[in-house]
Formats: sequence, C-alpha cells, structure tokens
Amino acid sequence: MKRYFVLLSFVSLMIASACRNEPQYKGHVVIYTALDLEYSEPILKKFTKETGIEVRPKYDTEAAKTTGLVSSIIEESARPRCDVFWNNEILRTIQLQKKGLLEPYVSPNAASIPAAYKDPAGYWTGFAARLRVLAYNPKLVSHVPEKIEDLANPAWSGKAAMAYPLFGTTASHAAVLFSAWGPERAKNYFTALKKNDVRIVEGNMTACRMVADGEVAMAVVDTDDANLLMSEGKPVRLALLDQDGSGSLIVPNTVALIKGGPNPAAARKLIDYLLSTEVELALAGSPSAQIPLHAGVTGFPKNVEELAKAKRFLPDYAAAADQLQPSADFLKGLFTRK
Amino acid sequence: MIPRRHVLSMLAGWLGPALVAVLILLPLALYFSDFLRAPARTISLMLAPGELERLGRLFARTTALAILSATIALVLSVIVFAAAEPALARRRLWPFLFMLPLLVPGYFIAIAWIQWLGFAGTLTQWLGPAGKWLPNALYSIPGVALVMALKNYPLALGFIYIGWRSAGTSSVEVASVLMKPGRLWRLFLFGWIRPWLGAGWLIVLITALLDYTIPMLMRQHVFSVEIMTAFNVYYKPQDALALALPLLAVSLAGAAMLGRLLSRVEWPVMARRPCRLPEIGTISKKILNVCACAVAIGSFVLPLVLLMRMAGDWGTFAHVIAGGRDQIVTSISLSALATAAVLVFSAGIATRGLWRRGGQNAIARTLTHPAISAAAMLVLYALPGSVIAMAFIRFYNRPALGAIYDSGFMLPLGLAAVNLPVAWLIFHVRLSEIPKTLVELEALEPIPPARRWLHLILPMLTRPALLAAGLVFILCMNEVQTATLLVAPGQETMSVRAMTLLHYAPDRLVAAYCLTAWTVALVPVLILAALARLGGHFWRKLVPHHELD
Repeated sequence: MKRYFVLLSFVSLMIASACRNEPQYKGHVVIYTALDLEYSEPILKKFTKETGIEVRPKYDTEAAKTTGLVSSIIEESARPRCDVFWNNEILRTIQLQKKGLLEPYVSPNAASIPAAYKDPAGYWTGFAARLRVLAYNPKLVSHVPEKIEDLANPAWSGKAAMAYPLFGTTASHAAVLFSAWGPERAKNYFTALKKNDVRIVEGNMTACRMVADGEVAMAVVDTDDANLLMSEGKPVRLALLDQDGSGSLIVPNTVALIKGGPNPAAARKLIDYLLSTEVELALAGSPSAQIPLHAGVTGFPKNVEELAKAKRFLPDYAAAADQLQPSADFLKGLFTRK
Repeated sequence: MIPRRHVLSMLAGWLGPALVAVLILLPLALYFSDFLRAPARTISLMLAPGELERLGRLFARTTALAILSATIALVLSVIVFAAAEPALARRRLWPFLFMLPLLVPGYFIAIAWIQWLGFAGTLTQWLGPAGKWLPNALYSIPGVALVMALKNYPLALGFIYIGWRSAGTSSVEVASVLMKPGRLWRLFLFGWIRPWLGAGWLIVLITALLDYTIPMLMRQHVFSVEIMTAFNVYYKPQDALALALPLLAVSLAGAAMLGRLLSRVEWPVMARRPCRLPEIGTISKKILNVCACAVAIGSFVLPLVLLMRMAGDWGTFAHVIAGGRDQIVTSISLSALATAAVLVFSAGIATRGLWRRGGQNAIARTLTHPAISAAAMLVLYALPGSVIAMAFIRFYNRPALGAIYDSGFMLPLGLAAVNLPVAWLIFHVRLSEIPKTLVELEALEPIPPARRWLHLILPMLTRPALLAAGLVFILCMNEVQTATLLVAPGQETMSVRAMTLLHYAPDRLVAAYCLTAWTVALVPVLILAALARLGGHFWRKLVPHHELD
C-alpha cells in the first residue's frame, strides 16, 4: 500500500493536465492545410491574434503528402468537420470541387487576383504561387538542363531524381503534362525517364536534399524546396525550366470553403484573411519565397522578384485535374514501388 | 433475487473487458467484417496483374527485414546481458542505460544514423571516397535491420532478464561446481532460458514487422509504409485492407507462437534475487564489454550526441519550446489520458475474476483462464497502429458517433488500443506471482472481494501500475502511426509535429524538436520515479515493518 499515494498523485497529475484551462476565444474554425507548417502556422496564429477566433489546424505530414488531407475531407464528407481547405497546389482542390465537397465563396480580398487563378464560380481562389524548377548541385552539374525533357537525356542517366509522381505537386505536374502534351507524349516522356533511371523518392524535399548531399546531381522540385536549402547554405542552385518554350509551371496555393463545414462564418473570415496581400507578402518573405499573385503588390524580396519575372506556364487547371486519375493509373504501373 | 452487492461486483468485474470490447474490439471486428462480407473484392485486388508480384516482393522484404532485425536484436541483447549481468543483479545504472533505447522514438535513432552514415553523413564526409559505400550499406536491408535492432533489442533483453530470474539459484550453484563456465553459460542460454530467448526474438520480430517510422525514414518499402500510403495518400481503404492482410497473417502467426510459448513457461517471482552466473574469461569479458559499449553508443549515446550537435545552440531549443508550447501541453494531456485509459482497461481485464463475490476459486480462475483475454491482447499487439486507426475512423466517423469522433478522445483511445497489451502483460506477469498456497487456501475458504483487493491485489498491482503507467506514457508520447491518422485538428502531438517538420524544416530545428519531444516524454516519468522513491521512504518511516512487503 506504500505506493498508493504515488499512484494517486500521478493520476491527479494526469487528470489535471487533461483538464487544463483553455483560453477564451470568439468561436473557432477548423482548417486543413497542406502548406508546410513552418510557414502556415505563424499566419494562422496571427489571424487568431487579430480576430480572437481560434484556429484548429490539421497539417500535412511527410507521410501523407497533400493527398492525405484531401483523403480526410472525402472520408469525412458525410459529416464534415473541416471548414477551410488551404491547399499548397490546385488540382486536388478542383478534384474536391468536382466531388461536390466545396461551397462557393467569393472573397472581397480576391478582387485583385487575376481571373486565371480563380474559379469563375468562386469554389476556390489561388494565391501565393510556386514554380516547378530544377534544383541542381553546382559541384556535379556544369551544363544545366534548360528543358524538362532534358532529364531523359542519357547524359543524366541515374543522376536525376523526382518525387513519386502519384502525390503532391509532382502528381499535379504529371497531370498537367498529360493534359498539355496529350497522353501519348506524356507517357513516352515518363517511360523515357524510367529508362534513364531517374530516382523516384518520397517527396520533393527528399529529392532536393539528395541533390544537396550529392547523392544525385539534379531534381525537379518546387521553388520553396530549393530556396530553403539555399538559405541554409547547402550546395543547391535553382534553374528555371522551359524559359524559351512554354515556361515554368506555376502552382498557386488555393483556399476553399468546405460544404457543410460546422463554422461557415469564421471560415469566411479566415479565407478573407488568407487572401489578403499581407499574407502573400508574409509568404514571399519566408524562406519558401512564394510569388504574390495580387496585382500591384510590391515590396517583396529580390529572389521572389526574380521568380516573379520568370516565364510562367499557366495551364488549363480544370482540364489538368481531369488527367489526375489517368496519369496516376499509368504512372503507378510505371513506377510501382517493388 | 440477486443481492445488489453481487450485481455491483459483477459490474466492476466486467467494466474493463466491456469497455475494451465495445470501444476497441468492436470497431476492429466491423472493419475486418468488410473483408468477410466481400472477400472476393479484396482478393481480386490482391490478384490484380502485377499486384501479386508486388505483394510477394513486399512480403519478402518485410519478413526478411523483421527476421534479420529480430536476430540481430537477440544477439545484441545476449551480448549486453553477458556483459552487464553483475550490474543487472545490483540494479545499477547500466541496466537503465541499456533499456533506454526502448524509450527513444524510432525516428530519433533513424535520423541520427542517417546524419552519421547517410550521403551527407558526418562519417561519410570525413572518410571521403573511402566512405562512399557507407550510405548504400545504411539504406540496405541489413543496415535498416541493424538500426531497428538497436531500437528494439531492450525487448529481447527484458525477456532474457525474466528468464534469468526463472533459473533456480541452487541448480546454477550445483552446475557451476560440475561444469566449466563456458559450458554453464551455453546450458543457461540454450537450455534453461531458451523459451525466453524465443519469446524475445518473437516480440522483436512482431515489433519490427509493424514498425513504420524507421523503414519510412530509411526508404524501405515495407507493408506498414504501404498501408499508410494506400489509406492516407490514395484514400483506398480496400487497398489498405488488402495490403494489411498478408502482414496480419505473419504478425498474428508470430503472436500465436509467442502466446503459446508464454503460456507454457513458468513465470518467475520477479522480486526474488536472481542466480549468480559464473565469471566469463578475462579476454571474452573484455570483448563483451567492448561490444556492449558499442551497443550503448549506437543505440543511445550516438543519437543523443549527434542530435545535440545538429541542434547547435540553446537558442534553437528556446525557439522550439516557445513555438511548440501547445504541442507539449497537448502531447502530455493526450498521452496521460491514454495512459489512464490503458491502466483502467488492462487492470480491468487482468483482474476480472477477482471481483467475483460468493464463488470459490476466484484467484485460481483469474490465473488459469486468461485464454480469451490473452488471445485478444495478442491480436491487438499484432495489429499495426495504422490498421487500428483506420478501423476507428471507419467506425466512429458517423453521425451517431460524431460527438466522440470530434471530441479529441479518438487519439487517446487509439493510443490506448495500441499500448493496451503492454500494460496487460505487466499486470498479468505480476498476478501470476500469487503464491499457489494462497490459491489453494482460497479454494477452501473464499475471501470477500473487498478484502482480497485491499490486502492482496492492490498492494501487488501498485508497483506494476507505476511501471505500466511510465512505460505506456512514453510509448504514447513517441507514437507516430496511429497519431498521424487520428490526430484531431488543433491537437497535434509532438511526435506528429516532429515527423511533419522532418519533411522541410532545417536540420537544427528537427534535431532540437526531436530532443525536446523526448525530454518532454521523459520528464513526467522521472518525476513519477522520484515520487515513487520518495513515497517508499515516507512509507517506511510511517510504517516501519509493513506486512505486504
């Protein structure tokens, strides 16, 4: 019996910690965000500070990629608990729209965002974009490839990497190529990549770190991945692809209101905040260096200015979203993890 | 009419098992009934063109990794045991140090080894061209198996330790007169404690089969990684189930063998002093000591030093603590809640028969008929956390149960389901120490439940309850697989955040976060241990000679 009171004190400690005092908020809003936690969290905290509305975020994990959150929204569609979906790309948001899981909302703050980055009916709005670029290790690459097709060049056999093209922005990129080039050309391209022994890895950041570590010479990634490692002083450089042709694929963040979400009023306020120029500038100033889409926004860092000047490949996103499944079916067979 | 006190006893006896059956086992049963309702659909998925070959490769890789890892872990644990045996007997710092890897998250060890031997690893860079083979070796099946073994060998060591206590002191004394030390050690390892070695190997095998973080971080596509991908990335629950079935076949077979083995062994009285094994020759002892030091360095010291070096200065920790205050509080709260649930559930199951009133042989029944409970616990232990989480999502995410799904209790419930068998085993081992004479006495003269509990069961169970609470709390804090799937919005745990940050955050931040997460997990347990020690001193002063010790 000598340890009863010890056990009792532990149980009390557990109960006390479980019943901690919550701060008082003026309501709450649930957001699922695929944008990296390091960048999205300060923005959400600032929203709470300014409005008094508690934000309950669910972040994307390395294991789940962007599609994990989309899967959760689909899984919960009969009884949604998410109010706002902040996707770090666009095609999966359109996929949710096509499944009828989004509700239209035209934010007044989206007025100065070009129409190309918004759904005409207001189901989603794009902001703060990234580009698909080539990250390379300057110690290992003397002549930097200029086109995305160059990765299939035998000179780079076994020296290039890309993320598994079934999730994240790499899946979106593949779907865009299927849509813009036509399925046959896209299939030939990916088959050529496979023959050229392109390393398929878990995610863009893993591919980028492999470049920094010298494990591979180059990888197709997003601007934020390369920028982050460059800011850490790692041996990584960034090259814009297809500047003499179609341009670098632009991938905007998208924000959408979930149909039947439990807190629609707070959700609209959060969407308004996310679509403000303040948030775009914050994301531009972060190591992810995202390109603001609001017309007339100035005062962002020099490296973002350079990215903003790049020739952009602006595809038909809705058509590309239709190619998500066919491209995934083909690529799954091609790059099956054995 | 049944007297009210009988009804209350019955209710108390059935509370734990009923809660486990309704809250945990029912969702799992319904999830697997999906397969039983339409087996053809799942089987056709498994037999799809190319899929069978993929499953075959996955199966071969997963089992090879687990078998290799379990074997290496067993060898490491024998080395550590032989080197540290006198210290184990005296309960000094060594045994605690060798058990530490069990309390360290898998990602902690994996990150450190990648930082050490990866493509940009410290040693790889230092060796230059001579070290080019190191990363490939690290990311190979033997390399990953070694890292997993360094994490899991304390499980096997624990079983060797139990086996050692089961060896009779007099038998060892007689044998040490008749045999040379080497032969006695062989007899000890491959004769007396062989079943315990087998149990240790099996428990590491099952743990390795279900491990998710180390294979995921070290780029090994095994079943647990693919199941998570199928459910969480593609949202294909049927595919996830089809992938889970071959894994379950192996892990359940392992669990059945483990259960059979453990049901046949004679559990020792842990409080008894273990036998003293003969001294090993000087040279062998030196070699063993070097090997044991290498194990300690590889499993704990190296990860700790490397991560501290990666984290850099204290400013990084301050940044992590300031930014992650919510996660620290959430992790502790949810893990504490899960620990409390595990204690209630496991103690309830382990002691179900002891609540009986009026009937005879309550103790005997509790000790000799745990077959259903044991089977349920072994099945639960053999299930990957992702499968448990998927079953919970499918069951609780419905309008009628929406209040539970949204409440934030999902994660503690999931963590409780994953860790329940650990606590149950601790209680079960302790209860099996009830003397046979008492069982026989109780058959003649039934003891009222209140007396039985007050004078026998509670004093016996407080120490294992403390052990179970500490262990389960740390395991809950470190859990990733279930937490990733069940975490409610706004309730992110530290382990989930560490895994999230791994993706893109700077190395120093990841390292600082891993170290902070681990420290936060350890602190409440250290406080608990200190309280237990203080409590002991306090009680000894209060009651100089206590009947129950």
